[in-house]
Amino acid sequence: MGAAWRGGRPEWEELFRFYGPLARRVAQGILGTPDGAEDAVQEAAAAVYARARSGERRFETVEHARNYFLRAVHNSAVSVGRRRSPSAEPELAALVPSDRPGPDEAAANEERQLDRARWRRVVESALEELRPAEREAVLLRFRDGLTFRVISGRTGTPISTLQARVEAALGKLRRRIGKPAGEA
Amino acid sequence: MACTDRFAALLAEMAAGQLEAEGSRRVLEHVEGCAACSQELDALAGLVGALAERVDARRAESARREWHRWAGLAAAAALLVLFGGWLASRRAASPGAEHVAALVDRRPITAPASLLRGDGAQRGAAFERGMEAYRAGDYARASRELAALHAERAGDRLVGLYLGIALLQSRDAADSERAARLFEEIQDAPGLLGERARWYLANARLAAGDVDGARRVLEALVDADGDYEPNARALLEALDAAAR
Repeated sequence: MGAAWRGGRPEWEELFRFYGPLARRVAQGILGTPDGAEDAVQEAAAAVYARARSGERRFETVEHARNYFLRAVHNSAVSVGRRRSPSAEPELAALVPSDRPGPDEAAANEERQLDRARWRRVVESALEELRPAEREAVLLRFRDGLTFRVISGRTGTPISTLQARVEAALGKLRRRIGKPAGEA
Repeated sequence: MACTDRFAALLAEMAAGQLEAEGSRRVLEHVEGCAACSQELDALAGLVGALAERVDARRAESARREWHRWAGLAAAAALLVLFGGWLASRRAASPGAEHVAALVDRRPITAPASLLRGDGAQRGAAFERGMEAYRAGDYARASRELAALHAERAGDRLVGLYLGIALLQSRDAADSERAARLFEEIQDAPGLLGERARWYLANARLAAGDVDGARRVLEALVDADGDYEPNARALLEALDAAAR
């Protein structure tokens, strides 16, 4: 049985650090540009933490907190996007998601580690296994956040080939994740 | 593995920053009820996070950190041999040393990029180098840079805080005692800075084997009911359990 999530300041900071890069990508997708994504994530993190700290919201597992944070980022990015419209007004209330059912029990019972050092070892090991073309596709797609169309333009590789390379690379990453951390 | 190819593709789109609002809303809603896609989300979060930290550069740094880590462990082992009698006497009155060591929370706080702007810019290149090393996880180098700067800027509490946290990562007993002294100088600072210093002071004292000293600080954190109250309360409970 996994340990309950304590939810103190260090735990929240760890959560924001681990999911921060992904959260920026969520915001980037909504805004259509990296501009403003960091602001959206910071606004969401501040709102979520304030609510948690006040006791208004409690989270029993890190998955629960993660989902709440990502939904807040989603709402924050939508709000940032609307503020860019000249006639729009800030919708601060929209930053915080409404209550949703909690995660299923299987996820709640799983022991969770937001160990960024472990993830780096896993990712580095997985990248080593990739063919150079696969590695390049993954880096351009997930490190640089480029569309397949742009990557295709830069590399001269057909989009369908790039998609297949990325899917193959993700498959190897999933297999790596299934191994104990010591084997990463 | 994602539960369907459709959601696997949408999750990957989202991780690449390419999924619009409605799509990400559907995905996030789905993840809350699907353990497989929840795991896939975490895998992608780990991938994006690791790539964001420039994996290639960190490979070279991790080999160097590994050397420093083993050097620190060897030094700690030598200190344990020298202070073996002292540890044995403390075991009679307090939780086992090995239990206490396992409870120490060294997790470093985030050093945001904004630290290097505004007031941070006035601290000069040494601060920039030290914080760059800190953010890259090279705490040995961060300690060296920030220690040199702290010697020049006595009383700079922010430098002292990050230096103390970097020292705490080495797991060396002497470094833990140095870190504790740094946190003692900062613990009365107002607001979150002081509270953080008290939290790390408690853990530095635990790392140095001073359980009673750690307890006093933790009890004060609980009474203050600030951001670290739940952590302080949990650590006190863990110390009580270890002592039984």
